[in-house]
Amino acid sequence: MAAEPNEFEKDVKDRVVVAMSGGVDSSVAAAMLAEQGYDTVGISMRLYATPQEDYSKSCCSPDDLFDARMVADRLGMPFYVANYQEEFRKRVIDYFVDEYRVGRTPNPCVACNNHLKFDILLDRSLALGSKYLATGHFAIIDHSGDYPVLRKGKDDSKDQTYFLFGLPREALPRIIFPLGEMTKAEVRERARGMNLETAEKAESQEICFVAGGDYKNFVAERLEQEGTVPGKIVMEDGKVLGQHDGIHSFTIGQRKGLGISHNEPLYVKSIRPSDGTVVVGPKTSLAVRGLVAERCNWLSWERPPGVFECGVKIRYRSQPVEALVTVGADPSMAMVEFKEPVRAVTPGQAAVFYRGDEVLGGGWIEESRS
Amino acid sequence: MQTRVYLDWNATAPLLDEVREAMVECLQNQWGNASSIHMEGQTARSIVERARRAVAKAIGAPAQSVILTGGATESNNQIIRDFVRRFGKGVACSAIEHPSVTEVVEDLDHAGVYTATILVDSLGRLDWEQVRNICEDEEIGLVSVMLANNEIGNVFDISRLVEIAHDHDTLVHTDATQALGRIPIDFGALGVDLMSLSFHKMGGPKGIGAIVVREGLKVEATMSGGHQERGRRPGTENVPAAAGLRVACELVAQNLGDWTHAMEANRQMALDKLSKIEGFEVRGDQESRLPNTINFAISGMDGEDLLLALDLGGLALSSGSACTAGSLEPSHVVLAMGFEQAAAKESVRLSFGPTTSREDIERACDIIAETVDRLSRI
Repeated sequence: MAAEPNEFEKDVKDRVVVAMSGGVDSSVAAAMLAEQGYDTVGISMRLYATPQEDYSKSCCSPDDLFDARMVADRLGMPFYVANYQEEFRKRVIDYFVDEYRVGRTPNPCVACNNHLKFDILLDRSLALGSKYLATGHFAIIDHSGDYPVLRKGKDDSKDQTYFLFGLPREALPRIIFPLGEMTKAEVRERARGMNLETAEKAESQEICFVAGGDYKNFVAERLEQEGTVPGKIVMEDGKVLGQHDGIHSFTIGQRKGLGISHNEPLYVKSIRPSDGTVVVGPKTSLAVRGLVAERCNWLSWERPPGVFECGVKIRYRSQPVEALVTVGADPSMAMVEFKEPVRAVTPGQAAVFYRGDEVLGGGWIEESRS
Repeated sequence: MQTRVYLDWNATAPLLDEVREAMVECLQNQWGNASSIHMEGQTARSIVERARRAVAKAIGAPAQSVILTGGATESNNQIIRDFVRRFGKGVACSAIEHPSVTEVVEDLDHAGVYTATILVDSLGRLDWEQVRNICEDEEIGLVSVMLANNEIGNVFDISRLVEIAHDHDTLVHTDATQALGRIPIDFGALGVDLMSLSFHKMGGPKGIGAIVVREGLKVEATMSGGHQERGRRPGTENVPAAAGLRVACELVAQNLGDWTHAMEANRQMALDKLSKIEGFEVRGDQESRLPNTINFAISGMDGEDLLLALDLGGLALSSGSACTAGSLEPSHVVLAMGFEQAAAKESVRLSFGPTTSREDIERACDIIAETVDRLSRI
């Protein structure tokens, strides 16, 4: 069943803005809130124009927006498309390309949540007379304690809290995740039960704004004007194995496409943006003892304790590993020491801190520490 | 729930009751094909011809000069494209024409046709010196300037344009869509060569429009496949729309004076009320303008935020133009007036019609004041 935070049950007259992508998850989230009697308003964010629609400069119309509109209409909800192309280009697409350019591996979904959904859309919901913003994320906001806490969604395979570490702590009371207690299968079942047009819709691709999913090509095209950072491919001992056209083509832990031959499989161990050097080594050399996270955001505390133990998740598709986290005078920076060495810590990805299913906070991986 | 207030007549208007009745009657009883020779067809034919006469009468033109089309967008396309095709000369338009003019001219420009654009000042007024230069330009054969602007409500001195243009053997086309039912239109007195019209902005039916062409000039079909409208516009006549159109035009002819007067009073009242809102500014030429349109901005307030909040508050206004997916783009008209992107996005348009009541306007102003107050406190 849906998460029904007590706070919201009290006053069903409250308006809730629902971010609707046109996918099955946000459709069901909207439908459940409407069913529960909330005064729901649907908003789709128009974030980019897909290339095949370039024929008219003012026109966009990804079918997703029409799907969202149809669902909203079926539910009797007012529905609007908000034009956030400019912000999305700056805060997500430019960021995405820039990170690759300097040899880091960006996470655009986190950037979109931080700067679009839980920033300007949250503000927009106030403008629409709604304190609350709901999305179809698989995550739970637990209202049982003194202050709301972000927890993992019930469906472990779909849990999306990794992408949500940047939620402003003060916004937690205003955010609703209706799907947190459901599995994906249950969401589809609900969608079918309610005859939603989006019930059988396929999962969205990973990077929404890269048509066809070839992000390397996308980045390379964007960098044609800005220029790339070429350099050498070297072993840890400095032995030069070859040259490359730009560090944007590499990511930590990458094995394929290095364009070098060697008697054992080699992996990208680190990338030095200053001179374009890509350091490679055998799989065993990828393990590091820790990392530095910057631009941290804390959810469980106004200010974290100086030292604490927790689980740290360093990429979406991996389990948290045990670690000791030290936060100094500047709470936006955290030093993480793993209990056991961890492979392929990737600058540009998020490090998210968990205690059980509670999300303590997170930050952006700045560098690994051996 | 309180009833909503609809003040977006420049987008489209609610059907006038008499128009709806005429259309329903036609849909039920006069469904024949106007080009058929049997009695069912004859009945339909007379509906179309009466509609043509009603249009002609409403704008002071001879009936044979009126060609019925599928709407003003089609009329604009046909007039400009047909001119270029047959005369082989260039075309010019103002920067604040409807997209069905500006984009046609852009298309032609891309295809290698000689074109020019008349710029406007910060109030949306034409640069008359440029008008003169363009008319003197021998490569330009047609100038297109609307009679009244849909977004800011400016009314242009088309007679003056005609005087200058005709001195240089340049033809003049005017899109009078937003003027119909709001201010008097006299095709003969204006002296224009070509006019486009549609009827749904003042309470008539959608899906029908007109080309009006002066005696001695012709417009040819840009589509093939039928002899309707004397070969100018193939396709089965839209008889129910024609039935509604006739009534709409007759109502214009009978009531325009009263309508204009009532709208003018409502506009003044709205301005008095709205100007009390902090940061309120009105855009466009306040000297020569329609009686039904107010384009305004609340300084520093995003128009999209305001529009959405107003909509949820029960008031329908508009801004810029919505793309296919429904997201807003800043108005090309306000941009052409020299406003920066952010300032252009502040523009909101309020437009109403003769059946809009004083109470509706008062309530709209209250909703705007309350909403602006709430938004400015966030």
